[in-house]
Amino acid sequence: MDTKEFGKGKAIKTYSGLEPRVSASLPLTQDLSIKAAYSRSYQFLQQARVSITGSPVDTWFTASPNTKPQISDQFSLGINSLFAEQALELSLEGFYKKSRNAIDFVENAGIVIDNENREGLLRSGKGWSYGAELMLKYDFAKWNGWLAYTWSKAYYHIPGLNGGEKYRSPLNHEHSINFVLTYDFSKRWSASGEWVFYSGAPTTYPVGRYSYRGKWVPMYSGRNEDSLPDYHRMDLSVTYRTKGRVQGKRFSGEWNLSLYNAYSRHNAWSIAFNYNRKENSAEALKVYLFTIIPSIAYNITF
Amino acid sequence: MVMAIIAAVISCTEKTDLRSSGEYKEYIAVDATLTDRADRPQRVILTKTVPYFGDAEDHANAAVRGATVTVDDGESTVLFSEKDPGVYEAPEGYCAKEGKKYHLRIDNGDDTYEAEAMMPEGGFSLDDIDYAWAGNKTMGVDSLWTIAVWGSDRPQTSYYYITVAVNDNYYPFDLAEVIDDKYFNGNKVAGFPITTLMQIHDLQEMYGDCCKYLEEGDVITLEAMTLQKDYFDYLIAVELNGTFSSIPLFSPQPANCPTNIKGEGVMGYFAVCPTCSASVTVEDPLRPYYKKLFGSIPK
Repeated sequence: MDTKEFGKGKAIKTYSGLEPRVSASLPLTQDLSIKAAYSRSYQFLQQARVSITGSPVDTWFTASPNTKPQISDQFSLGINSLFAEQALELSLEGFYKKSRNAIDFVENAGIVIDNENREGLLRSGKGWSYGAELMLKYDFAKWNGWLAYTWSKAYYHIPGLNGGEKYRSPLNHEHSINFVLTYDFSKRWSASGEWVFYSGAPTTYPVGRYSYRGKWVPMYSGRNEDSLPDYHRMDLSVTYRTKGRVQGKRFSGEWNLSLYNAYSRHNAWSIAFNYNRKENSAEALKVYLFTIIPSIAYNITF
Repeated sequence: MVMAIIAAVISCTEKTDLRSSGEYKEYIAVDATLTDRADRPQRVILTKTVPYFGDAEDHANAAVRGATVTVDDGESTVLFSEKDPGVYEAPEGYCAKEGKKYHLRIDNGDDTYEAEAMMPEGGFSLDDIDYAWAGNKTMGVDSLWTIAVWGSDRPQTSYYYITVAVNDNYYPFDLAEVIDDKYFNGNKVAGFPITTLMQIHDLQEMYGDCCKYLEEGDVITLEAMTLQKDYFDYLIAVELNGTFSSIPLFSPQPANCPTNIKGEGVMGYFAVCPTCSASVTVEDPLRPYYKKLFGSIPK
């Protein structure tokens, strides 16, 4: 370990680069078009997952002499079509993204949130992801919203991690569905619902164990090779606009009553594996955060 | 951070039958710690790993029997003999010596495993200990006593495995402490509260006297094992992959604990550690101060 001192206001390390972006759209008919795009981006602020599950204490790292900015190239190709007097829009888009200087924590990093040398626990390497999204948008007089399905995969290959083999990125979601519907009953009353689904959120489960000084020590076969159970939930809300809001007056408001996770699904935040001392056996525990959460809000616009 | 605290408070758990889709391979697990205590048996414990949700039969067959276990200190080679299934012991009176490097060799018929470990020089010099009652009904613990030490720390950065015993019944690893010397680095310590003795009613049936409520006449023993940094890191990894894996917010990314044992398909660790201990006899379990620090305080 070494220490270097820098003068006040002096740049420690400077990174720069061009971010070219190209996109093109080719109309084939009045309601049908194809599009393609390429972009390069520099990400000077990167997040690394601290714990077994995504959490508010995940750590952000700015680019530094030790942590280079992540450089990504993204390619996409899609087709877009309008139907039903342009009230329906159907699109299909595929993408491929490759990144350099993606970061993740070294194995057995310990509890890193209070480790002042945590940047030294990072390793960097390649990341790539690819997938396709099918989206249907609808915009009728009374109801609108969209339905989207995405299939994707995301990987890291970081020297020194996972025995040098590629592994799934913590952000991988293999199948993802978003369904949003809003219905206007009148000028003052409306309702909306959203259904969210995704699968393939990576995690690591133990495959075996051994005893050391009387304690069970878990064994793993690969980083992020397991998946949390499928996640899905529905959110519902009803909105009542005041007379002033409908008339477009200043200082007008609206009431909103909503239900988060309306059917109270116990979505796994994490799976914990424990030794149950009383039963002298192993057990898997699903840890979940929220069930149904009702809320009421009054929004003022001015 | 507010979100983190809220998440920790409101999270719930329920049992699930989820299992890993990963491939399980059987490994040999080595649990080998030599000390400089000639009055203690020096053991190498060899077991086979078992599937995480393995049953009683897996455990019954886990011992690795019939291996040839030797330890070489550069001057002589000592053969460890199998006293119980999978438990190999050195001849009586054998112990590790300061400053020596030890070479462990395990011959399991088809495979050979080897490891080296250096005995740290010095080690914590423990002169005395005392206890003080610290309260009850806290965080799942029924009663709590703090244990203070008198002694000298080594000048260099040191790492310790601290465990306590009641009537020679030692705490298991789960309840022991793996610490560094950041609070007393290189200094003499007098009355430093280094660890706690917990009475946990639910665990008494399994762990015996070490989790009992203290009574007059009970003998508390504190043992301090001085660790090399690599062994300290291993024990921390064991702790984090075990105990902390049930606390998702703070549990690190799961990973196999490091090993210093060379060979195909092996886990565990070989360490050599100077070990010291001191004892105190309980006079009044509810005494809320260290008598050796303050003397006799009138009620």
